[in-house]
Amino acid sequence: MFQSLNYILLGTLLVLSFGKGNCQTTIKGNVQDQKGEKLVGVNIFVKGTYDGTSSDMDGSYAFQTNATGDQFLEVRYIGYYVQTIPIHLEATSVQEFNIELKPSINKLEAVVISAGTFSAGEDNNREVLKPLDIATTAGATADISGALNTLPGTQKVGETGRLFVRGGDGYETKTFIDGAQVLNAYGPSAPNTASRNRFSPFMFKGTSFSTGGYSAEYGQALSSVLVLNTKGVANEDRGDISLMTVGGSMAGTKNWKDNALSGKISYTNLKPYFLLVPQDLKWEKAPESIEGNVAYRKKLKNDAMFKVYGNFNTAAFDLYQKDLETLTLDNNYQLTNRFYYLNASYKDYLNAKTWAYIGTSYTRTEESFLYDYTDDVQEKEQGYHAKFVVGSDVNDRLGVKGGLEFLNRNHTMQYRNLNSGTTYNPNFNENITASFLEADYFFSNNLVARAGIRMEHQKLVEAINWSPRVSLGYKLNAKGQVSLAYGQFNQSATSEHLRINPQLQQERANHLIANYQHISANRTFRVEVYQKLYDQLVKFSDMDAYNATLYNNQGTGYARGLDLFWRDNKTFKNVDYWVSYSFLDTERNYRNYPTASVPTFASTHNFSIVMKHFITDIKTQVGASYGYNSPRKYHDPNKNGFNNSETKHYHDFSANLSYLYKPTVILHLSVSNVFGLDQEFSYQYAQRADENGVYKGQVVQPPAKRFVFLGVFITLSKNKTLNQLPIL
Amino acid sequence: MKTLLVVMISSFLFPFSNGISDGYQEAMKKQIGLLHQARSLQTINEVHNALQRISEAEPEKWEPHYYQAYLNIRKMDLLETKETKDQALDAALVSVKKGLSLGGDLSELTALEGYVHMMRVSLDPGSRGAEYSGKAMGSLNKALGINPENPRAMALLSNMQLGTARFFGSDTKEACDAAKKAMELLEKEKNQTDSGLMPKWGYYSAKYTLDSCG
Repeated sequence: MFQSLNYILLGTLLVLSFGKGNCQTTIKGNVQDQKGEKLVGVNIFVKGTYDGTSSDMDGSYAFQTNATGDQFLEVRYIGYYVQTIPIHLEATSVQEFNIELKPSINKLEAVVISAGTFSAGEDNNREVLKPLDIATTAGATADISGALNTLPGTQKVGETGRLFVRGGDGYETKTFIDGAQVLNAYGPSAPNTASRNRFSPFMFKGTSFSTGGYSAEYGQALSSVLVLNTKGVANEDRGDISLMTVGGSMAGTKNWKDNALSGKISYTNLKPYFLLVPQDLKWEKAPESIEGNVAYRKKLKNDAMFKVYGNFNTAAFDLYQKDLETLTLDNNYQLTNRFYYLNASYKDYLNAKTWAYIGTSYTRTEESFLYDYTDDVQEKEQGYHAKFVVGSDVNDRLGVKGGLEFLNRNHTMQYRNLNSGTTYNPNFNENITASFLEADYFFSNNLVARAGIRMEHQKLVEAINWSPRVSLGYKLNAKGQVSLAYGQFNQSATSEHLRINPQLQQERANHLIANYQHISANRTFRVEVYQKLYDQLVKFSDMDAYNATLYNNQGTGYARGLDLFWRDNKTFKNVDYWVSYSFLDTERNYRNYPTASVPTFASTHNFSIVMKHFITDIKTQVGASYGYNSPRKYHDPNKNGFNNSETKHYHDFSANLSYLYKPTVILHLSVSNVFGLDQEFSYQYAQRADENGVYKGQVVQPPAKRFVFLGVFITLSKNKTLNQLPIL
Repeated sequence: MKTLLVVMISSFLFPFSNGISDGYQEAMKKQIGLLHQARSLQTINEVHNALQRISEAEPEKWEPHYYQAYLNIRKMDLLETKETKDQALDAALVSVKKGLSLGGDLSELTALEGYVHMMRVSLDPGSRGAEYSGKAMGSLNKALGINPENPRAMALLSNMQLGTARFFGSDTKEACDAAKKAMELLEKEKNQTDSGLMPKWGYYSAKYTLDSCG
């Protein structure tokens, strides 16, 4: 036995030493997918050796190997699971393996749940909007909320500048930075003028904006979440200087091997601008603000990332506004506002499949205002958010994540009437403990389901809220998919109500959303229908807004509608445009409403189109946008009924130009309401009727017809093509 | 007896199946030769697969990853849709990252990363230009910072500078100087001896710029 084996082996070895080829094993066969389609270019090889080949046009393959004994045949092809077949190789034999490959779950190609979500990022080519888009939208003046207002599902509410989503009030949208929440994401603004989102798009690389049905990871938001992610480590050091008609800023980024530090300081003063462009308000001291931003990030082993982000802002103004009873400009209003925000987060990959995140944020706002030299108000709000999340891709079909959160909000108000000496000091301290668990399961590349639950315990009322959320995504073909989402969302009462009655329950909304999306290389089409039901909304009596016993949670409401979105940068050369339309049907009975009615911020029809065209010959990007909102309701006390009147139709046409003077110098001009159309947001009326029994009122409209902005942006860098175009 | 057999077999077979480390040099040279001739998607794919087999068998070597990335960039002119091109560039970046994690030549891999960003721009200059040309310049400058004698980084830089000069209608002197410098560096490189596996391409990139210099 041994003898003969020896001879065979010896023979083999001799041949091996002298001849070429005859003693090799031939491996051959063909490769196909589960449907029987022949696969071309598949890599088939004996693992651990160089021996192998690529499959031919007809899916067949053949190669020779010198390896012997127990080996593994490995089959690799993009988009399919790797197949490893144990084989036993004997010299000079011919072995045949016909292989069938199974398509893998490919997160890039697989279905995603798109109901309710618009994301903007640099990494994924399927994003609906890029961060650049946020910054270069005409009329948005680089304000994140302004740009998102061109997306369907949002309402333009010009006198606040906030994001009103699908029949939801402005406070129902919450902002998160690197996973942790921000309290008071908007800067202060004079009464009936638009405030800006405090965070400039410049500091962030990814934005996800959800108009409903979002993950169980996000709580304390009834309608919408805006998730911003700060930048990672970059390659290039740079400095930026901006000079604008409303102020200036300096920014810089310094990179080291695996960490980077960015800072930005801005100064804004509207005084020179107001001297040039007359305003409807009489400014004693034009708005002036100083803002500082600092971001530090450090990359650690295994792609672990540590980030710190801080924002500081101080703003002040002093103005006279119209007294509604006398209709003269003699009501003085002075305000100073200080805002501090600090955020630190750490994400680590415990192994290839599991990650852990720890994030914490602290917000502090101090505001003092003096109304007509009589009513002195000092408001302080601070809060922290601590969050721990662990996530794991159990296998390529199942992913789970779970987390624990602590949220605190501490609010004090000190009111003092300087004439009578009356004081009033409402306050609250709210603590919420929350936890969530969510799982994604891919049944195939075409079908995914997500189920999550969020539990929140609110200490003030010792109440526990459970919020279930489920969604489904199904891919119809390479470009089209449908999604469904259902979820329950809770949010504590706003500070202005909770400070009066800290025993208020959380408000609640149920979302039901169906979405169809078709994305090809340069075109996106989305249609979404939804229904939202509100309950436990805060109600109080008009008779005495400061009487805690007149507050309850018996408010209700609904919103339903249709959102359409179309984006195309293919049809016209160098032209990129998007069109949004939203239909909204909503009523609510909340706050001091005597009956269910359409809220004053809602418009039934909302349309916007944004266009960007780069003209190579003159190195200029031209942008234009048009927005339309159908009439909004307002309450006229001179008439019967509630919210009984309507504003005019709202039209806005804005344009901007960015001229690349040199690679590092950009001139930017933007003008809102180019044609100077009359724009009405709402109407305001005096508290008391005059001697004739008439409530005097006035229209609420922009303080000037147009807003003109001119700026020069200079970039200092060794890298001569870097410029600030991405942030305009 | 069995042990003896195993020893015998191993010693005889060594140059063939287990002699990978010695054969590595040779196998790589063969594929590098082939990759410069590969002109069709099919042949590029075949070389890519062969390099993938080598990288699987040699988990410590960075060169196979470098050339896999390079081949994915070379696919740009052959692939049809923007999506498949972006996918190839995604794959190229993964290979660059893998090469870096294996301690590969920092300057060469970073230059290749810059090349990927340049290709991203070329797929959609209007909406990607501002962002990715900055990234591309960042990578190329970094590559030249590490090794000022890297002809490929210099050649690609000249391409970028040419594009910028054309766009702004400004002087192409800077680009032309960089291209000439790249040619000199390529010439110098020819006279140097290395492992034989180091990248040698860059001539056509530099020539592309020089052709516009008159």
